[in-house]
Amino acid sequence: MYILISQSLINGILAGMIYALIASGFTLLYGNAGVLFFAIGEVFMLGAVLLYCLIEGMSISYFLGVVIVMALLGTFGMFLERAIFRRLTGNDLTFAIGSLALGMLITGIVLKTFGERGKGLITPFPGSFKITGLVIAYDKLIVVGVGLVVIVALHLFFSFTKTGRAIRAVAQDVEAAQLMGVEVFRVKSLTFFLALAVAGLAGALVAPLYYVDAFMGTPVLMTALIVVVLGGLGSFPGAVIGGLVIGVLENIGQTFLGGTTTLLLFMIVIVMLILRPEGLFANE
Amino acid sequence: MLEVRKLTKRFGGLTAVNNLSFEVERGLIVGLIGPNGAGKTTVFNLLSGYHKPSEGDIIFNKKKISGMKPNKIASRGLVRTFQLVNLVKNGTAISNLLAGYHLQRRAGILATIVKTNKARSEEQELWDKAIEILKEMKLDKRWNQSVSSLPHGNQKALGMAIALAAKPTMILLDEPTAGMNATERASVIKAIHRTRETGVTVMLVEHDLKMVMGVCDRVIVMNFGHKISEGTPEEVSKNEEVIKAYLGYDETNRSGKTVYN
Amino acid sequence: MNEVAVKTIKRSFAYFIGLIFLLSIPLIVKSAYFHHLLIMIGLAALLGMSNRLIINSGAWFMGMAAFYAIGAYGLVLLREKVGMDYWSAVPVIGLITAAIALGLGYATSRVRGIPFAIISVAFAEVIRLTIIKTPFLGGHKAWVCPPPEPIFGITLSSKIGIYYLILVLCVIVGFLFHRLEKSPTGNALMTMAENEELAESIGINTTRYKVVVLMVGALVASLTGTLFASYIGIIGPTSFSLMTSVIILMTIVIGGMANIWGPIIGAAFVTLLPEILPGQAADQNIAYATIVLLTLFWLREGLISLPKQLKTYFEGRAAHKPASISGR
Repeated sequence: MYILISQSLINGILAGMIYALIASGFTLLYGNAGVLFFAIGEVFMLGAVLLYCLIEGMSISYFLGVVIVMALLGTFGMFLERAIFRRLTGNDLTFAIGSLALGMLITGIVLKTFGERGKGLITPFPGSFKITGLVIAYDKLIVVGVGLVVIVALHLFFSFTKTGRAIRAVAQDVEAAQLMGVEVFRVKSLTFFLALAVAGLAGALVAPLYYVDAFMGTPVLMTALIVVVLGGLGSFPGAVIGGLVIGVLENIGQTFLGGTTTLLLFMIVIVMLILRPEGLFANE
Repeated sequence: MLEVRKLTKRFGGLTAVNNLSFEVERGLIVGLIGPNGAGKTTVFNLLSGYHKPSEGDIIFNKKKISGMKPNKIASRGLVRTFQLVNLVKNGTAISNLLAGYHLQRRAGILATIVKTNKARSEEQELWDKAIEILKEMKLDKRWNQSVSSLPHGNQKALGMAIALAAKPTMILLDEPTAGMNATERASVIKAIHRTRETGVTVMLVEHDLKMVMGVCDRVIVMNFGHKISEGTPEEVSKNEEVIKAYLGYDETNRSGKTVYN
Repeated sequence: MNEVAVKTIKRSFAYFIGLIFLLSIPLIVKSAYFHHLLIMIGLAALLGMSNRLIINSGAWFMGMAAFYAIGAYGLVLLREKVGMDYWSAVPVIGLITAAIALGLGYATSRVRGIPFAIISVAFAEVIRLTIIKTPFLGGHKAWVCPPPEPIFGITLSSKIGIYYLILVLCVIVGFLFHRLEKSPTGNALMTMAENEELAESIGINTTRYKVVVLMVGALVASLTGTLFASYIGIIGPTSFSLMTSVIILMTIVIGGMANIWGPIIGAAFVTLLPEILPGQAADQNIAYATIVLLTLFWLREGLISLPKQLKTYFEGRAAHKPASISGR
């Protein structure tokens, strides 16, 4: 029993970390750029796919690959911001559907180039260690570790650096931020960079643990959305804590309740949103 | 007409309105004044149903309305205007005004869809009434224009016209002359007098003390959520506490008007 | 005769001709595939119109597949388990749908914007997952559904019969929704959608209106679901996925929200596009997505704004002409 729960807990934290990263990306984009970026699931998938290509195709080492993936996707984000989102005015629904279409496009391109079958990636950190009867794989530990480092780094960035605080200022009140001398466009570009880099990181981290295919983003998007809304739209801490909580709940649920977990989870989400629509950590 | 008893509103740790009691008699024009942050807008929000009181009662026309939803209170005859222009920005002048007649319409939803004779004639009547009102505001030529293209003064006037279209027995005007020049202010004062002549009781929140003293029959003064004085404009302007409240306020903020609300 | 009357007569005449045309299509064009496309467009249009009604009242409802499923599954279950025929089952399904929509509407009456959208999506998924997890409802297995029984002596078992049924429903729903928009109630709904605070202050019971609108939209969607089940003949949970709700939304976003023709044109676009695009799944996805993105980029108000945009574009070019006319 203890092993069962603990193992679920560990897997839950792992999944929660991934959800936290993706949800952070989404919530950053919403809070700062007002964009409902529903293609974030596909960005996650791209992170995994790109890492695969880098490692298998170009024999680049794991950590370097991860960094390159983040840089690439971050730049892609900046490109999206400048080329598309800056030019666009229009209501939220148009953006939402547009980003869904973008996601579809990305999936299609990946299907063509990557193929339809899922591909496996050999784990860069084989082996595991035992502690109190639990088996903890090294690679899972690395994922949680890296995730934690990135999240803490982001938190420090937002709290203590000038740029980080500028980003938060824009999220709260664009006009006030402008009056205080913040270059809003620069902030938006940076936000897109960070958001996509973080989502891509999540994908890259997951890649060696399971397998990589073009459709891995879709189920993740749904959960990430739930995390974002429960944690409070636009709230970075909300996304992180929400992600971890949902990850753990989901895993424990799977272990004990099996198939109906998702159903129950959705019902809980509906009830929670009815009771507290703004989310748990509503706007900073 | 309107009776407020021990009204209190707390937001978390902050008490915006504290044990407020007053009465407004039918047919009067009553002003609610006080320095910034005194709680005046909160009082209006409580009266019109946008906030629920933490304690206390609001009695309108002998019936308790505290805690009712805004649309229910409006249907009882108490309607409010808003400090910042509150219109349907994508709509035209006339569509906004016609919306205000909502409470007066008798024809059912199905009847208006099928366009029965009764529905059609009622709509025509309301249309004519609306055009009349727009004519008085010199906006009749712009009936089909988007309200966002109208000047600020007209927008506020339209807001008041919409509220009056709901045929209230008492109207709450939230800073009706905010952001207006002298001519616009004069026409607002005229409109307020005319409203009273049609039998509607008026209560207003204002920062422009001169205007309030000129227009109101009675004045209630608030500070920090309390009522600090009540009476005719002369009585109140001589009250020491009132002078202190405004003087202290005046020292930090020259003209008694605020830059932005 | 005044200008407005002339315009109305011209327009009514155009509608009349259009209606005659649509009624006679099955007699002119015999291709079953063509009939199939028209039926699918009709179904999508009904769903699009109902979703648009709800969204135009200010509620971002993105889970239309839920009510679509309730209609389809309701019909199938009432037929199989209770032995009802189509025409007796429909009112029962209507009551069930209305009850569910009523409950959902009141429960979420204080929720706005994006949280509401998430609830609607979660709701649709809950319905779908409930179907999959409940053996009584069929799980993953497909249900067979026979076509509707004859009514008033008219047989509806053929494709053409269903086509006429759907056409009639489209016309009725389109007409009623269009009239609703122009009516004072429509004005009240728009006021509510654009400025809830103002609407409340003039006596509009926003909660009640929102719930009623949700109920009406849900009813049309579930009715469409019964037609879908009767036409296709076989239904399973995959027809009512998140993607289905998204496609319904696409009909309104691509077609346009400004008037009742938007979802209809959007429905045609969304139904016909996959048929026109060649290639396998991946290529189709790419082409579909690209076209959708381009449409959204250029026609932000949807396809129905095309005439307006073209006019503005050409007028803009004409304004540059005088320099050449003056003989430089």
